[in-house]
Amino acid sequence: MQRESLAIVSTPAEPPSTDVGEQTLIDRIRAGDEAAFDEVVLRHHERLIQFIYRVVGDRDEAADIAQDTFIKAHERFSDFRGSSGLFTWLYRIAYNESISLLRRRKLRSYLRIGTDGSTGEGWDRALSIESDPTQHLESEQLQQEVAAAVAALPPRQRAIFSMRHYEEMSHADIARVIGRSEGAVRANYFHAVRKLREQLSDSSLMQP
Amino acid sequence: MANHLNDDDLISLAETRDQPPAHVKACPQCAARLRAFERTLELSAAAPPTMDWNRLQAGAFLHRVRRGIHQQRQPRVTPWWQPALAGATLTVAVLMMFRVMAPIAPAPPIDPSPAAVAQVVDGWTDPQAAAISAGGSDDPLTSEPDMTDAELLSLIDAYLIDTASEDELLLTLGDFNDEEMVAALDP
Repeated sequence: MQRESLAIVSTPAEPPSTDVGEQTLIDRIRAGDEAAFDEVVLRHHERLIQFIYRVVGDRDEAADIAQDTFIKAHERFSDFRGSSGLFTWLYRIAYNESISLLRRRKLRSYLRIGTDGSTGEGWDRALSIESDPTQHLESEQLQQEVAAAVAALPPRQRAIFSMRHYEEMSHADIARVIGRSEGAVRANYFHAVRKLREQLSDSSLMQP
Repeated sequence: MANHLNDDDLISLAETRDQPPAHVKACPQCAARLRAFERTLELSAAAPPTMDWNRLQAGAFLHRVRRGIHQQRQPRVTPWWQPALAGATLTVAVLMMFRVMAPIAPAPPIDPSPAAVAQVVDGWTDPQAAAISAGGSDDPLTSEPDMTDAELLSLIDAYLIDTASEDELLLTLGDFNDEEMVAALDP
């Protein structure tokens, strides 16, 4: 009963960005059509922000990185070859930006110049899950426990788990995003799931 | 049971929800592990870390992106004093470089005429030169009252050669004919 109520399926990923509409947008952007680029931003920004948020764990930084991602994409659009989908390419930029931010954050924490004296992970927990009011408390607990478990993963595993589990991306696409082999992606994903199981093993929610 | 599935296989099964192999159905241990992975993925999917976002924020976000692109296109404005400071620093550096590396200025050619020599001798300040200039008698070389101009010039040449720098000597030698050159260089 409880299991059924919690089995909310995450938003499925859009198909790879090779449809005609996307190709038309790409052609228009290459022709200098700014409105086409705006369309790309409006079409993809929300999913990108959610992905970045799952990696960096901070709303403001997620929005900043997403903004930088689109600015860099605009600047380097001539580099986009179309061998992968546009969204995969955007993910790649966002992933690199996110990992750079986490490295800087880690360095700051080592140097103890962080503004909040935190360990650097700084995960804030959003409570935006839509659920039945009668299940609100349970959902809130679940949200916090899952967020904490995901936050405990190393950054790359966190990103891979998010792309695979929440964005339903293929291992091949994830490999293109992070610039590693598919085998490495699979290994990281399996590591991530094992760690999540360990993290959540004490939770009462693990019992069906 | 030697056919236990490893974690990776069980995670793949949990993810795909494929029909588990017969071993998993028969093995309580593997079945429990599979169930734990399935539950982990269910919980994670049920409550993904999510950031609140709405349509109003979408409009503001697009505006932020446009502004960022616009700012990137603008040439960067540098404070007025930065180019001035850079120019001044460069000028000082170049001047110091010239100061250090400038060659020694060549000495003016020596005019051996008596008038010129007399003018030079008048400018000397050391006692011996003053004595020569004044025709003093303390110096045995100048005590001869009947010293001819040629002798005096020879004496002055010797003095100038003794006190001249290497560059001055080379320049002076350039004015000599072969015989004078041999005479000057022959010890």
